[in-house]
Amino acid sequence: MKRTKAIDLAAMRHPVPAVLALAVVSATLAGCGDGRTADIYASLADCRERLGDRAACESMRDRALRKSAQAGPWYAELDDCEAEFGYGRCEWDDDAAGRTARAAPRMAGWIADRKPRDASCPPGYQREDGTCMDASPAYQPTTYGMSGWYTGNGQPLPPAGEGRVRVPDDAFGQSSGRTRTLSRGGFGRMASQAAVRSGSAFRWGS
Amino acid sequence: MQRVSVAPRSDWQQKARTYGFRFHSMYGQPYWDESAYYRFGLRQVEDGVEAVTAELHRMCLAAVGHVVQSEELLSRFAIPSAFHDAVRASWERGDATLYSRLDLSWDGVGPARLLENNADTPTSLYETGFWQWLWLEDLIAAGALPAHADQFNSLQEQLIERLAQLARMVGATLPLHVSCCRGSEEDRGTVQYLQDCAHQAGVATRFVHIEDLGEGIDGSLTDLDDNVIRWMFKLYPWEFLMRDEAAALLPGCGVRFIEPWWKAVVANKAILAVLWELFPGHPNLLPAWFEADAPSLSRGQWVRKPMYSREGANVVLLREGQVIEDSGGPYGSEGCIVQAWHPLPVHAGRHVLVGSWLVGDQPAGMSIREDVGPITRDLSRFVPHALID
Repeated sequence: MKRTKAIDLAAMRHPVPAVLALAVVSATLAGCGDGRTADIYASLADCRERLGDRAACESMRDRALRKSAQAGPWYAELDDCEAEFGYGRCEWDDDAAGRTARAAPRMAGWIADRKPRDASCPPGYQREDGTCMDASPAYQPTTYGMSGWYTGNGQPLPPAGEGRVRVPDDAFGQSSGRTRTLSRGGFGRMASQAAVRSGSAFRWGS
Repeated sequence: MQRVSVAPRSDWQQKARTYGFRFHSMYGQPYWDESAYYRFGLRQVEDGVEAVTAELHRMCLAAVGHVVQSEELLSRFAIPSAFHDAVRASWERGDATLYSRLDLSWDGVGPARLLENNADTPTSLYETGFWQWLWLEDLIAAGALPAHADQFNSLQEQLIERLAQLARMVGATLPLHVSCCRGSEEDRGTVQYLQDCAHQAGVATRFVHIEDLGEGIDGSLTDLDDNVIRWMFKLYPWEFLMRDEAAALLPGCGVRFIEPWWKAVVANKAILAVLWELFPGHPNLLPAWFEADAPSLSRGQWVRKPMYSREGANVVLLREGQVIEDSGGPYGSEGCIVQAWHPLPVHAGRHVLVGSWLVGDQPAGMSIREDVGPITRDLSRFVPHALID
């Protein structure tokens, strides 16, 4: 047989306009995943005072700093970074682990990322209450309209009581996480210009 | 190769509504035409199209390997120098391709000739992979075609398999963002079809219009929900992406594109000139040159095509130095190529073009377009085919 052997016809039905269906899906997705709450520490002193465990605090801070260096926000220009995070709150890195030199904001604190303890929990993060306490960096951008705590990919961490923030489910996902969008509309203009030149609606498949 | 008249299914428009095939007519003209089909033999298509497609594809890949080694050629292909490295790196990494379509002039008897390689943003995918498949199944079920009738068309099956394979390559949990421009029902339908195939491959998708793409704080591309895009199908040509305002973002944005960067070379009509240089006299090629290198056009029949053009736009047919057809359109400023004119076969007064599909590196199916004129355009009718021995 030279043709597709079988097609799931039910899966191919689109009796409603596809755009409407997608809008419904987007609305549903936007509403799900309320996340959880977590402790946030602004400094080692803050952590020691509230947690009472100096070693755990240092371990968390170091881990968050490493994550910040590896996967935190960065900018090609120091000015751009300071415009976002405030004067004197960014550092220039000439030797960014083999990458192009760049500016990065200093971590402003970290979230204690507490999960059930399992075999993958490193010794330094194991807690007596049966949890594994990882840590992720948090930032405090000062751009107009932004205040409070944010993750490295620009997701807000809304306050949830004294020393605690609400953490979206996918706040620290490494793959297709979320970020803050600086601008839109940088693509598609070539298509509209060509459509104008052709004098008609055009399509870009071939 | 016969054009056979056949009664359209009485309920085909109802079916089109059920399955969401909304562009069967465009601008008031029928696009899908099932009042006839093209009949071929199995061996005829296996030898004349399938094997030729595999061979032409191998030659095209060799030509890409040749072009990416040369800054001069990349410049002649009108690829902006800022992106030469990205194109070359994409080729050297072996970035995976999803699909492409070779357009062939073939009369069913002689050797098929390559007219162009739609390797970046091919459409008529849904009509080929699903809609003409359904037509054949319905006609067999109704007894209008024999039970052993078949079609050269494993496109949907192969697309699903390939998308599952690509998902494993990029990391199975990444969603595939899919994108096209606003304003074209056909492009949106094509992208929706790929979403359907992706879902059947177990791959999650998110749609975003090209015009809504955002620049993330970290130089990433984002969708309207601020999701970072890591893997993306774009029904939008590389030559436009590379010239859009935010083009400088592309090399560092961390997106694995379908189709990959190197398709900017093979989808460029300049590849026809390079193919002729590398494989002169090959029976499935037509003589072709960059316009500046072409012999005198005052004798014989020639076609002048922009290196970048879509849907048969700005194609000029020349005979003995005189323009006998000019399709007009918005393209051509980046330069043209000249190709020997090999007229399409004519059936029932219609010029017939064969589209031959590949998924990955595998030939995957065939589509037939008809036009009353010698240049196949966006509204040229899609007519199904059947293999009946």
